[in-house]
Amino acid sequence: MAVLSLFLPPFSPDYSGVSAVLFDLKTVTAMHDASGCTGNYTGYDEPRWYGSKSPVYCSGLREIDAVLGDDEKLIQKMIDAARDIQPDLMALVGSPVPMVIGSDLAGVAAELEARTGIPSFGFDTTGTTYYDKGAAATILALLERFTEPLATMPGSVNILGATPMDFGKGENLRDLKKLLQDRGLFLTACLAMDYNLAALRQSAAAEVNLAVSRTGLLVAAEMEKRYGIPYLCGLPYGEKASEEYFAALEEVRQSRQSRIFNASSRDFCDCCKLSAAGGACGVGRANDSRTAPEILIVGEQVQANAIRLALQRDYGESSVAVGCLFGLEPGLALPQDKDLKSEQLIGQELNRDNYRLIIADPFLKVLLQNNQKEFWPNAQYAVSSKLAADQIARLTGSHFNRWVNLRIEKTKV
Amino acid sequence: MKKIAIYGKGGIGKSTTTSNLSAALAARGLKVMQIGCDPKADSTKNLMQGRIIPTVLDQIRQRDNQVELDHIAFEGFGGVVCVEAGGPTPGIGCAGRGIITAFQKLEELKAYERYQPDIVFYDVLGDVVCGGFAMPIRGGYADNVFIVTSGEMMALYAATNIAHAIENFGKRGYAKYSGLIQNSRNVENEDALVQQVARESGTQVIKIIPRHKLVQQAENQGMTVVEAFPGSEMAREYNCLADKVMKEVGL
Ligand SMILES: Nc1ncnc2c1ncn2[C@@H]1O[C@H](COP(=O)(O)OP(=O)(O)OP(=O)(O)O)[C@@H](O)[C@H]1O
Ligand SMILES: [Mg+2]
Repeated sequence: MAVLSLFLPPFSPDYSGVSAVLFDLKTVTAMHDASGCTGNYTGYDEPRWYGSKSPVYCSGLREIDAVLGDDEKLIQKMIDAARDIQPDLMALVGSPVPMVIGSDLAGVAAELEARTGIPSFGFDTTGTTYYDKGAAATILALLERFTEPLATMPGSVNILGATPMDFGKGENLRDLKKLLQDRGLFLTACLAMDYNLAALRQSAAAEVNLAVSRTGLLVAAEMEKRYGIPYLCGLPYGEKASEEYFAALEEVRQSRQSRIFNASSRDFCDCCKLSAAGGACGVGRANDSRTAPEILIVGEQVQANAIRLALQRDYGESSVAVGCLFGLEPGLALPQDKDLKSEQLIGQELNRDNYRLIIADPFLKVLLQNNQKEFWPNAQYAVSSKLAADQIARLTGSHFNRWVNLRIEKTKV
Repeated sequence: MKKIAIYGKGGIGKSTTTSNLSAALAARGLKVMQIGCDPKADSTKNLMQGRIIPTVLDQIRQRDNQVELDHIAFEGFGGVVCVEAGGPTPGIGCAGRGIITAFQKLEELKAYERYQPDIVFYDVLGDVVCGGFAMPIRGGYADNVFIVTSGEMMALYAATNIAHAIENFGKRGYAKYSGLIQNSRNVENEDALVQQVARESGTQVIKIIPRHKLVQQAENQGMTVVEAFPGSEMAREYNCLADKVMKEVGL
């Protein structure tokens, strides 16, 4: 029962990641399910859904369809939808039932394409992994299909890994775009929010890729191989760290060497002048309660890392751990970071004595037994959906400092 | 790397024919992999000295999914890499889904990257009863399909059904149907009957394998004919089949 969630909802799954990436394109997207998964995506994982015209359908899979594997019925429905909508592309998105009966959605999509001439994709998503995997696979499939290598345009960047599950309606992304513009850089494509097919095609011309989430990192690594575009993985949160971020971006432009913009073990251990293997700040000794980290940031790894670095640079907080909710990406982690695979592990970590401050989605607060600890909410759509959308913190650049200062003042009162 | 799926009615001689093919090609210095896609898990036994090897699904179950390639892939005669997908206990579970799981596990463990085979054979259970048994001919798996048949009615009927299934998947970029292999049962007018079915389904008989007692004799020693009686007339027949298959798949 270690993986049972008693208090938390299930986090956004892979099929929602796929659908979110396709949302901006002129796509007929059909989830192959009995409608629960489609409802989960449109109702809870997609803030842009209400009021939009994006054609996301449910195949209406029923028992007899599962037994008979009647793909023709699905194909016919897609052909009908295509006639009405005239889409640029079509996609079939898997869910648990197609996984169990072994539907070959990639094969069905190939047939659909052969019959309609419209580029079609099948994603064998299962609902058993998280949104980031689905989103990354989809961006890569789209690139593979639509994006040929291009000559580099100096000063151009892509933003990679932008999904509502990580960025809600995208306020932090808009702030990031503004910062890029202020520095004379221009955006080729923001994958995958506020973009179109033309931008997707142009994305191969970018000088540097900015991976802003784990989704983004997965895509960036592959784009480096395919198109030779180096990447910078991170986010500019906080005044000082943002300056460093843009310096790092300049460096990537010059050197063409990819870089993960993150605190290093040394950043923390300089503070106590000890080796990275076990400084007094607790790095490398996370289990020793006297020296273990004092602050825990739980959530998406790239964003949590950016908060950590900003806290370190602007507020001198040198003892911070990150807890990953969607799997720990080793290249993004410091030794004290934790892979919080289940509600039980999340609860255990939040309640460790060494932490005095927790920064996490407000939903996680129910797991906290000791209300002596400070808790700063920073909502993530993949966790709390629209129920806490007003608590998605604006953190890009100096907004971070405002956010923190406000909280520090509150504590003093 | 060429991937080839062998289909055919139950008991018609798929495993015998495939194992002899594998052995013949391995003896020529090619790296061969044979994957049994049948819950019975006896596809590769004559390449393994009569030993039934542990199956992918058994190992997943027993090792709580901590499976490594060495737990499921075994080198037999001539360095042929032998794998058995396996399946649930008869009467429960889902054998078709089992094939998919086994295939995904091989992919996850990077089996093809590690062994770098020149040729992979999938020896697939008789009738394509559900999606799982079509897995070996889906995009990314087999490039070519051969169907083993005799001149018996039921075998020809099964062959025609399988050929239909492959045809139905034509638009999906699945494997190409490359012909019939006649494994003779010495029924009356056998060659002509098989020939006719081939013509009707727009394909060809790539080779007629005679029925021969050496097959059983080799089997009793846990071997293929190619291994046990390399100089025999029957071994020559299997070698000739190997030539035809190689030509057909463009190697
Ligand atoms: N050419 C042949 N001459 C003589 N005996 C043969 C020949 N081919 C196959 N056999 C015999 O037929 C029997 C069945 O063969 P085999 O196990 O290869 O069939 P199969 O199609 O793999 O069966 P299943 O569907 O059960 O997997 C074996 O005992 C084998 O020895
Ligand atoms: Mg067999």
